[in-house]
Amino acid sequence: MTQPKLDRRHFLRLGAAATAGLTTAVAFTPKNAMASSKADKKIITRKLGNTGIELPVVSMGVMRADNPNILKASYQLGIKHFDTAHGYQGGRNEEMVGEFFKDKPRDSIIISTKIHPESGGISTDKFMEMLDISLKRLKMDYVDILYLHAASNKEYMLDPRYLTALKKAKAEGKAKHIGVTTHSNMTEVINTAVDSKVYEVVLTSYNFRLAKDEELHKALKRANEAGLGIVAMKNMAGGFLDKEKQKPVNCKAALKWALSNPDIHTCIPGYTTYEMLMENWSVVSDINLDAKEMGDLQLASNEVGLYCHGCESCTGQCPQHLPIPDLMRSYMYNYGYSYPAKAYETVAALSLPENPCANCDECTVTCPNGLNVGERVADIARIRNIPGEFLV
Amino acid sequence: MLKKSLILIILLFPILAFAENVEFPDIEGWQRDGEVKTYNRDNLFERIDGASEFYFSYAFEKLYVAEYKKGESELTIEIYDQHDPVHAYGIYSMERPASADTKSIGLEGYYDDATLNFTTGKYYVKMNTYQVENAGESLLTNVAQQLAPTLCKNPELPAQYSAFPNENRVPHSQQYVSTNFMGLSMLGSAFRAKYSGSEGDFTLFIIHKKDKEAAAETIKKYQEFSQAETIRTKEGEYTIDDPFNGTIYLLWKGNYLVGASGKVTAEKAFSLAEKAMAKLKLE
Repeated sequence: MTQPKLDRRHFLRLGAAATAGLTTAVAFTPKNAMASSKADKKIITRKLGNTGIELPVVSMGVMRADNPNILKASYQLGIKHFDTAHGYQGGRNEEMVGEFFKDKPRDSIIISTKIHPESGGISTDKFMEMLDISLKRLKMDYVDILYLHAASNKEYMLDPRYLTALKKAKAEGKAKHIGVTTHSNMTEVINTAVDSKVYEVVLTSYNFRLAKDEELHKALKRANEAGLGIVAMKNMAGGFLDKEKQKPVNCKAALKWALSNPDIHTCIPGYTTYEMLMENWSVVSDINLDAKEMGDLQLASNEVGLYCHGCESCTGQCPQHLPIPDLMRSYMYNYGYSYPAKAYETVAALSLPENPCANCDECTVTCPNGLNVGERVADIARIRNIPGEFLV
Repeated sequence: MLKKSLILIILLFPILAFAENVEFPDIEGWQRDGEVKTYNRDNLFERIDGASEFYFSYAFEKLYVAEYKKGESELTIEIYDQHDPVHAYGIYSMERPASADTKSIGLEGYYDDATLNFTTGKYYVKMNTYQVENAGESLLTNVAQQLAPTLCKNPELPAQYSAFPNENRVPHSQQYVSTNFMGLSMLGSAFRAKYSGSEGDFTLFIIHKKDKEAAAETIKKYQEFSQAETIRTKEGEYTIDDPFNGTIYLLWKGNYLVGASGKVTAEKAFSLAEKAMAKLKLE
């Protein structure tokens, strides 16, 4: 009456069909998935540095999920690693993970969680209290990976309070391995993790928009060679190419791109539907980008989307000495984040002339990431003409 | 120039609104520590890291943060603007612990020794303290009662929640899932509540679509997904054998789908669905 018909045998066949290359062009139904192939393809696994853990290259970021049946489907397909955090959904995310896995063999899964000290800093004891709360929610005696959450600089990563807590967690058997997560200033964080000789795993943002970041790639290679485990997140780079959100990123291609780097050991895409699960899982035995996928990502890379990278290469290029980085940031506030008040505030503070580009026939500022600077300056400068009380 | 300005205003109109008015209270004996900090979708990550994704899925617009000090004690108030009461109550309900003893704070709230969360209007407010004994019951409740009316004078629970029958409903289990309900994109968002019956625990849910045609399209796609032998397109009762979520009972009328999942008989499920449907305003 109430149990899903798709039992383990069906799920394994679904998994097989998925790894046979079920494309997103085919409407996803269990029947299509089961009908498309009978042959299993080999699941690609990679060692997570020197941790002794070997994982399929596709794992699960649980943070957006609120439906335990998604966990169930993922587990039955063969996903081993599930990533959550103390702060996700006020603790309910860890509770959902704990409730689902409470009767599963503990050694059949790799669970990670993260502790994020508040902005003013917390003591070692407080860190350990938060970890104990997490373990209670997870209904587990230990996590496989305990992360210091959201690092962006060396000082935070090497704060003795947190290093002491992480080491204590490991010594007491509450964490098998310790790591650090980062989504900004990743190169410094990764290099610091290597140099510290304390961190064993790094969880980092990594996607095709970072293709040209040579320093980041050097850091990843260095970390891999030093034996750190490297887990990648934010592989879809926001999910859309345009401000109108009409051009979705080819997510399967984006995942393959991330995994094409052998220094990445597994990815943790965050998904909330069975369709997304199957699309992600289809990559687990085939990470080779085909011509169309390569084309989609090349287009994406060229299209750049909305994001000024903040590299400030444009500084000093404008013959009128316009503050280009500030104007690009204002453009992003308005169109990228629908925050016109902030865009207005930014432009208003710049004391621009009435028509800032009047003295130039064409814009000679060159953006290394291909942004059309002249067009954006002309566009965003007009925001000064909108009465401030209409902007929020 | 004027024409271009007018065009720009028109283009920006969907995202223009009058400035809001969030004011933090003065708290007797406490000093404000620094300026009010604000965060938007651009930088919410800096405050709450990956948890921000969940807030985005609940229409997050802005966060205001104020900090107070009294000697060694600290108090922080975070006010999340979640765009509208449905999303504000929604994210509050998703973070509310099952064991929460809810109170009449704003629309609804709960507290423990050091924290208090409540929702009112389009806001979700989270308060926490450091080194304040029994803060939840005393200090935070007082501050919350002071703050709540300034954010929304007459908060109301979104209408769909009152449609859930009371019989056997688990108290304080009502929630709003903002997208991909039950892991299925065609279902979209849903209101849900937990029930405990003779067969066991089950969930009753209400899916609101913009019109009857949208509801028809949803039920059609759901049947296709579940490989129903025949695809029906008339209002009425449906039993869906969902390969991922089990047997789902759905009642479709107008622009609403009311359903049940879990340990419940068809008879009970449709009986409750009818009761809920009777309280909904069909369009």
